[in-house]
Amino acid sequence: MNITTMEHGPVVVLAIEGRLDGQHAQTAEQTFVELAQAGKNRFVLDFSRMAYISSAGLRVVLVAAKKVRAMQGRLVCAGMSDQVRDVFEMSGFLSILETAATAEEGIALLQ
Amino acid sequence: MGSDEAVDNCGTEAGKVHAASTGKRSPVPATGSGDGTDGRTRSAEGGFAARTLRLPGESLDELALLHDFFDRLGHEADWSERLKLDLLLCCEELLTNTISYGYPEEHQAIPRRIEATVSQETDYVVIELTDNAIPFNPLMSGPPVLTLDLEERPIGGLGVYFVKQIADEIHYEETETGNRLILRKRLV
Repeated sequence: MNITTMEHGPVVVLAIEGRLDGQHAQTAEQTFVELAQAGKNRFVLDFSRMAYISSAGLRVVLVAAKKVRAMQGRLVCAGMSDQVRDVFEMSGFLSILETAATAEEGIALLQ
Repeated sequence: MGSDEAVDNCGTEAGKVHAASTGKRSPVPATGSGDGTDGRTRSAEGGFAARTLRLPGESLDELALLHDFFDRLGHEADWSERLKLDLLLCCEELLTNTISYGYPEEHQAIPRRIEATVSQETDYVVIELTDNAIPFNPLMSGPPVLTLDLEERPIGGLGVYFVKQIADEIHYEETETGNRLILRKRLV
């Protein structure tokens, strides 16, 4: 897994590449926590180059979404592959999280 | 952890057996694995011999070995990318539980023995997971509540639910030394 952080004005885009699984979840959570602690509260999680997510990865997304909500911010999940979307759907997350087709759309939602 | 609840006892001396046919959410789309005729012909010609991955069971970094294993199998068996990812998700969820919770202080099996054996029958991929961890029947876990608001959603509890959604059949057996779980997933 590789995470790239980009800032578009007030919006932080976290592009996650590879697998967000039990092996990498902690690293991803740490990256998010550091940004949240720096006061960032508008996030786009760009999954367009993420091939696979497991429940450990979903846990990170849920932790981040709860934290952002508590900070009166917003978080958008963008660019989900079929596998990623199905895992979100199975878990009921599609109805409690904001989604966008692409990272660009996600950024536009938050600006 | 623990399997203190009643299970269907199929009368084997080796241990308790519990089998379940899972209620599937939807048919799996046939993506990228050729048409049904091709698939049936190919697998009827023999599928492939059982292959086993042994994990030390010490760290979740070992999930990388699981992905390498399935990448090789998927390539050889010409699985669709999606089938491979579904099988990987099932294995990751179950093996993560075993590695993380299967060997508490009072159950230090030395050495740990966690194995995933994958074979292919005519219409199914069969995955057998065995370990020498404490007895735990994941089929006994109740379904998560999926309708809670963001604030109320608990962190976790989804892994086994995913396995039940994806696999067509799941059998659990407590063995003399640990656990055996057999998953069957229909080739589409």
